[in-house]
Amino acid sequence: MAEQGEANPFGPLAAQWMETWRTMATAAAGLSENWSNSMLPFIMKRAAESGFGAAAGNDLAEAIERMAGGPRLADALDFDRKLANMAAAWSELQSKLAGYQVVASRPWMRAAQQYNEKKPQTGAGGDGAGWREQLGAWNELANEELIANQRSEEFLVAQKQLLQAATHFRNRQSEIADTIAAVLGIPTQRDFDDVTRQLTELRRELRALERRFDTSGEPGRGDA
Amino acid sequence: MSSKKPDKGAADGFADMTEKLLKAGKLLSTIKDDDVDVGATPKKLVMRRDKVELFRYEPLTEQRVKTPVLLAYGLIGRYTMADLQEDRSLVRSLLGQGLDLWLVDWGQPNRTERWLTIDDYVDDYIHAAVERVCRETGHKAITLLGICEGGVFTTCYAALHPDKVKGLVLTITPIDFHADRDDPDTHHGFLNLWTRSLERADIDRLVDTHGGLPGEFMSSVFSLMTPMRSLTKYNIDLIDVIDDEARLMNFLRMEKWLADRPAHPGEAAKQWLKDLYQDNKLVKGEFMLSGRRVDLSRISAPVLNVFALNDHIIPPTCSRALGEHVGTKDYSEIELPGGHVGLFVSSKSQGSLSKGISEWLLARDQ
Repeated sequence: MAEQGEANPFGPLAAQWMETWRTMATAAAGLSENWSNSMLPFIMKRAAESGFGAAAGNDLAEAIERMAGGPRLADALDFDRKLANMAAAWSELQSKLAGYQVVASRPWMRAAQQYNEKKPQTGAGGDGAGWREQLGAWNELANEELIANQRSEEFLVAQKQLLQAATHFRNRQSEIADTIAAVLGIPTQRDFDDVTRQLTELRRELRALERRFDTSGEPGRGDA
Repeated sequence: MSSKKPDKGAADGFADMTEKLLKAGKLLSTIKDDDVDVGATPKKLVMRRDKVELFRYEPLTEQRVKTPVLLAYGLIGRYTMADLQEDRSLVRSLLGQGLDLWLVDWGQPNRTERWLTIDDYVDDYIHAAVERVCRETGHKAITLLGICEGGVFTTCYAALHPDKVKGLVLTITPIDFHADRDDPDTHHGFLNLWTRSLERADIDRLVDTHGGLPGEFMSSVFSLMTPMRSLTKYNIDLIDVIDDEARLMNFLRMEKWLADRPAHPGEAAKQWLKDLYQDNKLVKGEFMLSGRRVDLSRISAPVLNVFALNDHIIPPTCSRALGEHVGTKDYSEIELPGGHVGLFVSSKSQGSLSKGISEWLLARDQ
């Protein structure tokens, strides 16, 4: 722990602040999640679509109006939930990043300690070793320590958790982007992936058919 | 107050460094992107299939090896590593030895190529390229020259289509993805260890989220393997070469190659990381492509396996493993000093790599 403190004097304070923020954001997301996981938003949305029973008749006109007007009450709450989820994911990412940085910073302390013990000796004439020589010695020590650290279980777990948190955050961001895209009538990333999947599968089928029927060996397909 | 005088050596060093930094800034502002040309050896586009292109290099000398050679790089980085600059180019050296050299270039895959699998690369793109080379040259079978992941693709192709392959040359190619455990050098094999540390679901989520394996992400993993070199690249290494135009251009070309790292197509990345790096299916005989098992013992063509003894990305033990799995008795190895990239771009390895390959080819060119 002493190493962590020395590596970053603001570390404990930042970590405490981060933890507080994370707890708040998680709690907020939890509330939103409980809300959205219940049937309530679904019913609210259905109710809003029907004008809460106050507007009878002319469903088609209202549906068209809704399509033009974008989200209504329940959608807006759902969007809030997504924002809260993204904030919680961001907070989790920062927490994992802080954890990773603590693990990644340790070899620097060990390298510094070793360097002080082994640094190039002062020459007989009183001149210090050249800066390049000193830098070379430092690089070699630090390199060994960094590589050894990267192969440790602790480092591998920390980087895996960071990757998981980063991917999760990116997915939460995409949820927001997809929601906005849906409101504006823009195809989402998922739509694009669906199209490219169909395209790839169609190509495979087409080429399988081509291979089955084409025995001529004539050049032609794919000519530059 | 301290009576200690400033270290004259350190002061001079600092002044020297400052002067070089200023010079570096001035010089770099005058060099244009077009001035830093990579992959510049002349070649002609012969076929295009989706984003994949088949090229034929223009000969530099009289053809000595009759069998055409198709070069295939992997999907991590680009083929330009084999043709970085005129005096550091495997491509140019091989052309100088009289080879009829072809190249399959995967282009710049992005999210559009998310669903492509290794099956597509081996059984469609490479197969179409091989058929085209055969048609253009009148040969029934050709030689494949695979680099890194491209070596795995060509190995799979040779096992699945032995009648189309007259010879197989592999460079820095992983075959046994768990053999890093047999390599005593702790600087080697981080990529193997890192991939095994991931959950399978992590790989799926990463690929599904980004629609592929982002090139920038893989660059950062590679940087971890040589940490201090990565940290001192722009503040020490660049300054060291700034007053030597030739070395500066080498540095910039290398940087250009490193920056040109397209995303690895998604489904193919899942196979690469899960089936091969995690499950080691290739040497277990469990790797499936297009519904067929890749059986390395079906490789009947002569094989030349070239690897670098200080390869920190593909440990030599991972490459060397091929020998015990192939069906052919004509199996040779060339082990060269240097690292994964150094094998292709260092001035030391230029002659030995291309000479080793061309002599091996010439001896089997009947």
